[in-house]
Amino acid sequence: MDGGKSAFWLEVMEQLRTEIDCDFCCVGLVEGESRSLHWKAASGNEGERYSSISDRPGRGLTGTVVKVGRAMPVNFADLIMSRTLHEYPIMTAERLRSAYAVPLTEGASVMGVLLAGDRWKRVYRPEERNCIKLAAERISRKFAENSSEAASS
Amino acid sequence: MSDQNAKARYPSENIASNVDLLLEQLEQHITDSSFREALQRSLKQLADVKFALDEASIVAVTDHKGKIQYVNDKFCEISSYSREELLGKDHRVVNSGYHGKAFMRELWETISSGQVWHGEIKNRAKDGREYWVDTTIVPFVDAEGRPYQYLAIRHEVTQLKETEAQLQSMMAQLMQVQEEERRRFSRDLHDGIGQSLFALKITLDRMISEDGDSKGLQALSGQVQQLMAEVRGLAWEMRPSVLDDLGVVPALRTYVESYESHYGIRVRFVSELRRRPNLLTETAIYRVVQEALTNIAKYAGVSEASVTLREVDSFVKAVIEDRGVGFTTDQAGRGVGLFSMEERARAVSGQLRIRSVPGEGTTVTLSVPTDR
Repeated sequence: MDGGKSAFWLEVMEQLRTEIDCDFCCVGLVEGESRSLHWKAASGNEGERYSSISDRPGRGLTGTVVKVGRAMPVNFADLIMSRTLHEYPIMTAERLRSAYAVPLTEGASVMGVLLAGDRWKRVYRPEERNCIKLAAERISRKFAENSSEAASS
Repeated sequence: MSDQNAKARYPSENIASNVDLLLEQLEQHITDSSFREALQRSLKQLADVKFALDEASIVAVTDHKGKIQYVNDKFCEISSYSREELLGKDHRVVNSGYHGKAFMRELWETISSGQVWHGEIKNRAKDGREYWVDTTIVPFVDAEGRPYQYLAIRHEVTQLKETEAQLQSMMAQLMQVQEEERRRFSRDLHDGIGQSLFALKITLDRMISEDGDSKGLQALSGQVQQLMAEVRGLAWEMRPSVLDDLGVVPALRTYVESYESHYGIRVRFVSELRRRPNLLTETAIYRVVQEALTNIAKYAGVSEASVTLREVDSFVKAVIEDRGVGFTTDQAGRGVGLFSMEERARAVSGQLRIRSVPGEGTTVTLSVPTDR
């Protein structure tokens, strides 16, 4: 991963965190033939564990946001109820209680996920969800620019 | 009147046995009528309590050496010995040989130091029938605190014990059936759907190589590949075939690898096992380590943990350790995890110990006897 990309991501995430006042934010990309999510950059993180976390094939956010291509709220209490907490290791690693995950896309395909989270029980209002989506779109646009640059060079 | 004579006239070995005699003679010995009435009432109550006890429980009284001085009808009934066969003997008459020397020593040490002992004992009747009794032994002590007599009160709990054993064997069977099902599902997924997907992938790739410009087909091939990875992951999660084929150590090595990249927690895995335990033991070890590591990921808040397998004497020991937040026993009730680990251990006649100190971490130790 080149430094320019991650600097841009950090800028977007920090801006988003001030905008909606959330504790944590991270960007993940799908990798490998199983196309499971790996976290690449974070803002407001407590440790570096996020960077060595990845989803099991078809589980967690990989099996939901990535597969379906739609945004989704993640709630700690619900994960306990549905006994799927282990599929969302980012929640325990960063002690998140609530999160909202939005797909990062290039054309029709999902390239990754932008996740905004909080260490308290929070319900994201429609305008806050929209802010997260707009931030994701900024990151997504960069994918398109990068690949068109790569194509023209 | 000498001491010897008094004992002969009012025998006191048996609880409340001379109450009637004493009551008859109170009038002529005690002139203070209100004191006499109080005494009469107390003696009467003593006799009534003795009667109630005999009605409700299996009762025996022994001397300080353990020689039986008194047994009630219920004792004779359950042991199928007659009173004459029991009096003067000690409790070895009904000993089933089930309890070890250490158990008996602990019992005697407790009661001979003047303390009450409580526990469950398996006895054997004259006809060979074995029965369980919930037992309370109360030492009667003299002025210096030395026991001169022991009162044992028992209740039969054979049925309870049998039900307990049945329940446990049911649990063990249930878990084994579950593992067998998981093994079958896992193999079906891997060999059935997995192989079909592989064939589909080959067909797609051939179509792509024959038709140069095929973006759609390429996307499809990518999706099939992803599906294959998912099916493989599912089959492995259900029950890794390596556990059956190569044993618990390679299976755990793979598990630990996947665990590390999933949770971002490094695991120091050390195995000093020189040979494969039997398959049931291997399954128990695998599942307990899996459960304990999952608990660490969920609750401990650490980035490191360790798993050690070793053979000590005739036990295989698995130790899963972290230096995380720990918990107290009353916090532990949240998941069914702890309970299921204990059941896994019991099913292979093993033992599970969990030591946790808030702020210092948690150690889970599974020990399973090797020769079963």
